[in-house]
Amino acid sequence: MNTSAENPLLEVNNLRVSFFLNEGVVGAVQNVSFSIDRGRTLALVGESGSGKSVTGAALLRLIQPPGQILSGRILLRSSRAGDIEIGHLDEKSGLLFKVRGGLISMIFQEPSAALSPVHTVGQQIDEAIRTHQEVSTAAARRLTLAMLHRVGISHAETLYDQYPHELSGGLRQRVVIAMALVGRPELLIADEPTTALDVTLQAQVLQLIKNLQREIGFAILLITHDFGVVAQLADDIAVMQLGEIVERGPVRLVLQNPQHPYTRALLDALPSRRSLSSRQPVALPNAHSPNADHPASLCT
Amino acid sequence: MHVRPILLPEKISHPNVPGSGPLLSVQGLSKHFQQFSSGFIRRVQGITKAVDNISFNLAQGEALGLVGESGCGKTTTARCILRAFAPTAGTILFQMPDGRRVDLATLSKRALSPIRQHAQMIFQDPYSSLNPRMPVHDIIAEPLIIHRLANARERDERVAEIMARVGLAPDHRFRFPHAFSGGQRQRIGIARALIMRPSLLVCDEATSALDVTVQAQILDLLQTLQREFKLTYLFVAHNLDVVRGFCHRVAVMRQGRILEIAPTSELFNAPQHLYTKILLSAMLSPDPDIPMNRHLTEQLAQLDRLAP
Amino acid sequence: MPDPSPLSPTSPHLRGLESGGWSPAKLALQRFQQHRIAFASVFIVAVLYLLAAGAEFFAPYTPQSRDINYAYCPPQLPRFSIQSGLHVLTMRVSIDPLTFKRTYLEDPLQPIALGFWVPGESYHLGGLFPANHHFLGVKPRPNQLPPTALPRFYFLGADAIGRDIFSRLIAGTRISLSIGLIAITLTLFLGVTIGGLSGYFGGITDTLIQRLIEVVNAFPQIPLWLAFGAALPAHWPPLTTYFAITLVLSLLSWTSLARVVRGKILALREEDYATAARLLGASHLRIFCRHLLPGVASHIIVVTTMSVPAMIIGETSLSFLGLGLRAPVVSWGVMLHDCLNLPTIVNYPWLLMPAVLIVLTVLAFNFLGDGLRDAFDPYTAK
Repeated sequence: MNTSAENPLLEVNNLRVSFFLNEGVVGAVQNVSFSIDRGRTLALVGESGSGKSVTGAALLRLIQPPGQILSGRILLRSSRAGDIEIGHLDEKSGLLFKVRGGLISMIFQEPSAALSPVHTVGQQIDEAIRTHQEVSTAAARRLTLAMLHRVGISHAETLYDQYPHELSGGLRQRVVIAMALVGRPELLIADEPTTALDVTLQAQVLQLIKNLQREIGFAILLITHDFGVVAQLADDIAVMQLGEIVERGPVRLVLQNPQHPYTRALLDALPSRRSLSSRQPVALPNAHSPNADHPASLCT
Repeated sequence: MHVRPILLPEKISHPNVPGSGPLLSVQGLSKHFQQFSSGFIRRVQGITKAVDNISFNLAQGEALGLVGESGCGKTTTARCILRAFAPTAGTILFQMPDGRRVDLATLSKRALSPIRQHAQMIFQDPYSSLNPRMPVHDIIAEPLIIHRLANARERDERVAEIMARVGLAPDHRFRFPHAFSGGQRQRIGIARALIMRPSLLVCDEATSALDVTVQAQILDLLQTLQREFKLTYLFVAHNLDVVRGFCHRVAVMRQGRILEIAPTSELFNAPQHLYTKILLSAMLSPDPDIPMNRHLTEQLAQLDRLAP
Repeated sequence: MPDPSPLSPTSPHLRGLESGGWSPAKLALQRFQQHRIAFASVFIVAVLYLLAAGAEFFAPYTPQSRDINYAYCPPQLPRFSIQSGLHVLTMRVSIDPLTFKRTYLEDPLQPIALGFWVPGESYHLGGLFPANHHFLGVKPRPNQLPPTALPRFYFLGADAIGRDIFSRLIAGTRISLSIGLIAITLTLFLGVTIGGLSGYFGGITDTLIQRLIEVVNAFPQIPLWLAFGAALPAHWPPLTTYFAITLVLSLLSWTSLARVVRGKILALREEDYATAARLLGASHLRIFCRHLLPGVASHIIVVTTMSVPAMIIGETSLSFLGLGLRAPVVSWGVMLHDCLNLPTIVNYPWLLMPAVLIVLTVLAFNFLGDGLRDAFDPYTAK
């Protein structure tokens, strides 16, 4: 990977995670090393079972028994809290608490899984703020509303008092993103952030993440199986197969000229590469005479 | 790279041609769900029109894609056609192999049972669609047992034959589903659907839960089987890319209605409906040089203004 | 083209796992064996049922055999010496002439030798096969008196009329444990059928059945038992009473099983494989028995195992209160009926032995159920 000469934000060296099951030992992550620079996006791509999500969880020390981190160095060079060796932190240490949700936050595939159904959106984001920052209730509310505005929610004041089940899937994912970003993380781990969303929502959410990254400047570890998402969001890519990184490099280079046979196989299997025609740019029809372009179809 | 030409079946039969009508003719199909109030006495509070007066034909040997976003009614349509739900209105004319035409929408449960041999379904979730407590042999042989189509020895032979045909090792027939990967499980589901030699196969997001490489293999398998068994597919999917390589025609659904139905190349190259255009533009390209559509929000808002 | 290896469906790092061809039941058994307490409980339960099956053989005396001279004889601990082998010491009784309180003293000079597989009181094993050998008993000396005239021994003491508590406990095992089994079978039938119907058909059937369950559950249990018990005519033969009691226990306890079955069937009904079976043309009965019921089986087994103790306690409570089985039938509850007053318990605590056995049985069944649940459902248990 093309790491800049200075210190990258996150350095992972020889990470190994295994799961000790009744049926045997599964080496989910085997000697994985990578680094992420400040403000950049690294995509961890692979099929299910490749160990990409386990890698993401290991960064926050979220591996539960029967899983275990066997070895590896996870170094976070925080600009706020200095260098933190996440792999060596004590399970109950305050620093690990600060890392989780503070310096590194995470968003998941299923937005409803990250939200409590019995608290309002506002309460949950307020709490996320107040766990990591000492602010008054009123200040937390102000921060929450600002963050909700920032993730593109225009009616933030109404939404503040709503429960997650009252929101659509797209709004919920925006709320989750807002919640992940209020702690001003330096790294955002996005585990399949748009897989559960419809195509139109997916594009909008990706655009949002991209804009927020540009404005706020956090780095992203993007965990996905979708090369479309990778191509739009990531700067660098690491392809994982069976717990190992088999190819890495800048996105454009890897996607346009893959070296490893596995990467090639993945790209060749993409349905869009298997079909003939190229994509059509969509022309936005004139808003005042919308039916001019296609008078018949809209009325059916 | 694997390039797939868009194959049209040798002859797409037309409803007007006598003797060879469409395999499936759906007219004015609607499915409304009633919403009940909670409590002891449940009152009907409102009606959701999951499928709202849709019509289409499906020719013998054709693959028709039904695409749309979640909640557009595509899965409900598929399940109505196989009578997992009873439709609220409309006719579903199905041509039996012996030439008879039956209306699946109104048949009684008893009359429906023999017809199930000819129309089958492949499910999205390879995990939940197989009974975890039955060995693969029993899962695949079940249709033969239900319809009393073969004795025990013939059953074993046919199970072994179909397993080999869909790319499974017949030696594994006494294993349980948990011992198979997602792709292999999907093959088991296909074998179960095909063992009765149906003419119509409804694929409900059959590949969307699979990894890309596995997805490609399953699509290849379905295409080979289509030629071999002269199958007709109704292919429900949310992924336009998958549909593009697989289907002869595509119908785009939104809010319970079919907005546009056209041959695949036409739909992708010259989409007529604004929604189709938006859907196509929202697809993410794996090529970093093709940027994504930044105006989706405005375009969708415009669409809602046009067709509330 | 890619070489085939990257696309091979089985991950190499998962190879070597041998569970591939195992059935879910076999996997569950393997997990169950790792649950040590549960595995030990299996042996305890097995021993208890073995005792119940061969009660006449395992007990040194028949439950009604008595010797009034040994009323309230305290437990005689078994001893071992090279000279006399396994033996107990003869009890010498002295009666206080004023209070009539009996005091027993062990006489170390007069051991009573015990032996295995010795002739004793004759009985019919299981009520059918005549026999007179017992698993354990007083060893007859050569050219000795007839076996009936042998000295008696009381491992766990004697009751008010000199019956052997140890023998009666074993005899009571048969009734107390079998009443649990029979009642649970009936409960199982009611719970699975009613709960299954409720979950499978849903709608109005479900609503009606759920309301019925709520009504049944709303009855306070003990007064209801009292009412049922009082309704049982005293002149009924013991066997009829026995079945009436099982009926009472089952009629009150099917509801929790029905709820479990209903909830699970309701969820399984929505699984794709149930829909698949429906679309294949399978009948309701086939879908229910072949696809849905096996999915509930593990829950049923667990709930059933956990309910056996409740049945046993139910019988015990009824009999203890004098509303269930009555003497001469021997069950743990009937035996406990003898300790209804405090002085008895203070003076002759060994009469409480059935309670110890009940605790042991209930714990064994609970651990068993616990282990089964962990085995069937390893992910939600902890």
